[in-house]
Amino acid sequence: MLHSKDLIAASATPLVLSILKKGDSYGYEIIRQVREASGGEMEWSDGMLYPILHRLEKRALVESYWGQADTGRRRKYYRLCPSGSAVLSDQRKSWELVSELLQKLNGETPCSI
Amino acid sequence: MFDLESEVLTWCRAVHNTGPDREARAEELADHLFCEIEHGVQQGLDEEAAFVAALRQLGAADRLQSEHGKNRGGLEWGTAVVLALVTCNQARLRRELNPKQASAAVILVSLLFAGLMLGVAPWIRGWKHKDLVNPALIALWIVPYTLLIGAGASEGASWCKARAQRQKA
Repeated sequence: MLHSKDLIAASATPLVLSILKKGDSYGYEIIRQVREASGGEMEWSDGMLYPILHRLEKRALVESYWGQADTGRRRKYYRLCPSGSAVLSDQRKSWELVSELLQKLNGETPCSI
Repeated sequence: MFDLESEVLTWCRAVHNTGPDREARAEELADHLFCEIEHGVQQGLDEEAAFVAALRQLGAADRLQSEHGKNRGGLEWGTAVVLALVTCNQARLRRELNPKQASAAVILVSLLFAGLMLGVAPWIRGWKHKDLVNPALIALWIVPYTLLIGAGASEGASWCKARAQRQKA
């Protein structure tokens, strides 16, 4: 199923922040987790993620540090900052509101995400 | 012979060829590319085929540059505007002061600020906001010209008057 660019763009920030809330991670792993969690429905283009991570870092929602991969290569990891956690909380509420509204308008009983 | 390490680094440096943090971004992209290549090799591809497949997955280099460029815009435009103001102020200075004084002032101020930028560079290397220091120094560069123009307005008027009197004589 093809998802609109706007939906992918809008959901990228809360998804990235949600993944980092579970633990520090790096670009390739974040894309893999999104693909796996969505059952293959959400396929992010690899090139799209890094500008998002860098923008989040500029906004001080996440911070990065250099670590080492299993292969010995230098790898850039990202961790969630307290401000990022607060933004994630706000964005989750917004998405839950939209989801509840859609369900109500469809005559369904709203359930939390 | 296909040199994977060299091909990956060359491609990543071509994508990230501008900006103060281009080396770090290229290194990060290279790590991602190696992860994709390793995945391809595990699927049975040889290194070169896995490299080509990984590049397809990442997308065209110019599109990546365009995406990253959206992050840079503000600071570079701001710096360009300040540099334009500095140039205008230098031109005004040449009108207000006599030519020798104006040239000396421009050279001295330029050397001072160039020295400042080079001098602070080793000190701010690990600082989080180091990208803001040079644009801030460039913005401060306007100040001495503004002061000199103010001082020179009267100086220039006196100099022009004296020159006009000498020419009459």
